[in-house]
Amino acid sequence: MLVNTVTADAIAINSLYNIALFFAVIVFFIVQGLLLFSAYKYKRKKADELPAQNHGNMKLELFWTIVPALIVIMLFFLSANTLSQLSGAGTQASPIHNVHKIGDDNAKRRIEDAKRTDMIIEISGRQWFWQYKYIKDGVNHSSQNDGELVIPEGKVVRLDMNSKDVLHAWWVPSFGGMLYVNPGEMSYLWIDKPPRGSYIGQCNAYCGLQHAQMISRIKVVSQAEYDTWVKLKKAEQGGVATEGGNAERGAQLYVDGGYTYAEAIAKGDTKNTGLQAQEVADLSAYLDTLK
Amino acid sequence: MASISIPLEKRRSALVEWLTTVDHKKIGIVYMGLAFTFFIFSGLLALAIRTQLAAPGMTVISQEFYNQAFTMHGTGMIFLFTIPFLVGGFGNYFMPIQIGARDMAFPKMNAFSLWLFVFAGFVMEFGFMLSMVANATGWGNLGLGSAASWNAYVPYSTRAFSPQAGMDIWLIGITLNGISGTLGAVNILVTVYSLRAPGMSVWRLPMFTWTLITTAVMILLATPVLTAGLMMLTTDRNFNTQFFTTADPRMWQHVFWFYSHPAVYIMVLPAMGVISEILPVFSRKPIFGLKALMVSTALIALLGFTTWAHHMFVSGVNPLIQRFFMFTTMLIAVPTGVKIFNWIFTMWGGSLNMKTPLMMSIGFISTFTIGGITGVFLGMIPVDQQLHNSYYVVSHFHYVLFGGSVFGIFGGLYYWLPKIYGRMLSDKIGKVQFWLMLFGFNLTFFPQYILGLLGMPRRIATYLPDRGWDIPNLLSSIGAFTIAFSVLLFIINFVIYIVGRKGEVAGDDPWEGNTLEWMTQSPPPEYNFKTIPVVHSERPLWDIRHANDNTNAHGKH
Ligand SMILES: [Cu+2]
Ligand SMILES: [Cu+2]
Repeated sequence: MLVNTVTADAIAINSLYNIALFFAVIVFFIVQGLLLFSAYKYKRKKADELPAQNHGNMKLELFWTIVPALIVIMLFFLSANTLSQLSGAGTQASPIHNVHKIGDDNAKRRIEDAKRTDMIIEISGRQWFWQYKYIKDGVNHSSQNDGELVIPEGKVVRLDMNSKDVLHAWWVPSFGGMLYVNPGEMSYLWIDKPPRGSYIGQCNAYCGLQHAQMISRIKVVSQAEYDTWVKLKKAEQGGVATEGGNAERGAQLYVDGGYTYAEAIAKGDTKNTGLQAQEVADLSAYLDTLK
Repeated sequence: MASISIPLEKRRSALVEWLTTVDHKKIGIVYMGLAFTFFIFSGLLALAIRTQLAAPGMTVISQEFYNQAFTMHGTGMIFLFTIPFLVGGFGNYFMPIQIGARDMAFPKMNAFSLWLFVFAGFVMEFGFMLSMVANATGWGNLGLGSAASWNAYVPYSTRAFSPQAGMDIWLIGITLNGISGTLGAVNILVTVYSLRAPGMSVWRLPMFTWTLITTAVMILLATPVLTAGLMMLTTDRNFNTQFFTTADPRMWQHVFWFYSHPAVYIMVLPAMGVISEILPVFSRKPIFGLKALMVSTALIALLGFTTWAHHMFVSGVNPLIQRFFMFTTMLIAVPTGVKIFNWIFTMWGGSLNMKTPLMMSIGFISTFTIGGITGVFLGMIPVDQQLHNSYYVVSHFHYVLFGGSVFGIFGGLYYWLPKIYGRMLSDKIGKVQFWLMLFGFNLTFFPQYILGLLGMPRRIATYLPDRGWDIPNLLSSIGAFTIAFSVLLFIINFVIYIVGRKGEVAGDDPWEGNTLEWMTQSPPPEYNFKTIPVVHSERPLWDIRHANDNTNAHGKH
């Protein structure tokens, strides 16, 4: 691959690509070589020449059926092997927050077991920008006005992605892999211990007029720099919000967390949900509207 | 011009004759003429796209028009050019003659398919053209063109996100087009089943006819699925039904790709049939491994129905199911490879008549191979998770559909136009066109593989200068204009040598053909054959030519 591949995922995909490329180059030269050779060698020399009327050759035909079959079967197993090594292995089938199956605990566990995660960033695709929400650090941010997704180096970051409108796709080539971001459900992608640097990605599912402007810039920094950035951002946001409950934001939380959240609030025990004070207030406001 | 001196009375009746004809040859010609017109139009849109992308940050066309342009480029090339040209054009004209029939089984339904195709084509393009003109002249946005890309993914294509009427017009156009295609497929299958000349058993069917019936089976099984999906989306948009609006977003993707993956083979199999006709004729040898070629065609068609979800590797589909689709997708490379080697070994040891049809066929094999190989890459899930929707994919399917189908179509035109009009095209211009097209094609699309690997997504109207995409994009745009020039050469060739009657008189059989269309006059009479020929091998005309020498006319099979 021609981009700078920096995470284990991207490197694994790259080496798989290179193995396939090795066979591809061989097949390419054999085919083009035979083609050019026969086009050059067997040009008609005399108007009335009559070549041998050869209808086929079973052995040859078996050869070029079996050998390519073996190659693709080998590539199949190599791909399956790489696939099971990628960070997101086995999780794509489980859009746990899918509105159709709110509260699918098994699926939720599968996501949590899939890979140890240092931090979670919630990403919302919107026509035509990305919204970033740092769950633990309480920072809200977006890709508008060249806003960067700032990540501390060497951490395993899980992206919990959903869409507020049409389909989008998250793709940062240097990190390897992409995933559609769908309305009404969550998709999960991991950034596996990225080294320091600036990276760039772009929405890769056509989403309308300004699809071309839906760019994501990522900046991986040291932990200290990250902490400073978080403080700065929080100051900008006016500290941890403590306004009254907002039912609209609560509705979204409800979609995201389903009845587990609602249940916890009904019981008055939200310690294990990981919800922030503001979020509890929002969710309660929304649940009040349902009464 | 001779036609000017024809009295008005007669000319009008000629027009009426073309509008009311049920003759498969005339119907075929109208299909070809119209499909070629849509090819030019969709090609001009491609030039607009390539001009816009030639450098970063260009504003040659508006973002809004760009999005409509790539939507209509794709749908125009697929639904109004490649499929109707190969199936409606070549298929209608040559299949009945190749099997020794006097017409299609249902001539009136054939005419109905044609005019429904014409109507659907104008429905699809007319609103878009009006919108385009309105935009250019500053009338503002009429909203009569679709900008949802050819795959019209839900929910973008629903009323909530695409409120303009253009989306509905597009949906109705493709729906009608699908109905026309489905009727055509029925006609093809019944014709081949019931109207073959005596002695023409399954294994003696000409390769083009064989690929055409495989294609017809695919159309019959796949197109109604898309048509139904389009109708449901239309009612979702207009009558508040909820087939797709509240469904899992993957629902539409399944319906769409269940048609649209087989559609690739619908577009490429008949072109494979064309070059499978040309190669043995111009090599003066039987086709290598006829049965293997026929079986691999059928296998490709069959496997083609089991691979659609490889377009959904990043949509969030069950990993186990993904692996199934990865396996079938990679497997399809095997019968495809069999074809490529069989074609090469048809030429091997032959006596090659290096004329334009053969060169186009060699171009087909060379470029299609690259498209096929990169298809295996994209079939590997981890690689697809990196390259899905990138320019790598754009390049891959252009290597298959331009490198394959379009080279096949031009090969077929140089091969068969002398039969249709009784005059030869200029082989010199043909060769120049071939080299320019081959060079322009690779210049356009090879850099796009690099762009994909560099992370450029498809369907973006512009890009920033800091991405390192400038040079491959510029090369690609230069290539696109080279292709356009090569197509212009073809038009010039056609106008001078066929319309202007400068070409040599072709005679019945200018190429020493093998199949029955070379037995009758050029152009063929309305009834095709005075007496229906009897067939003894897959090369009936070879048999006649070599009846008196002892080079074993039938050969061993
Ligand atoms: Cu987008
Ligand atoms: Cu496909």
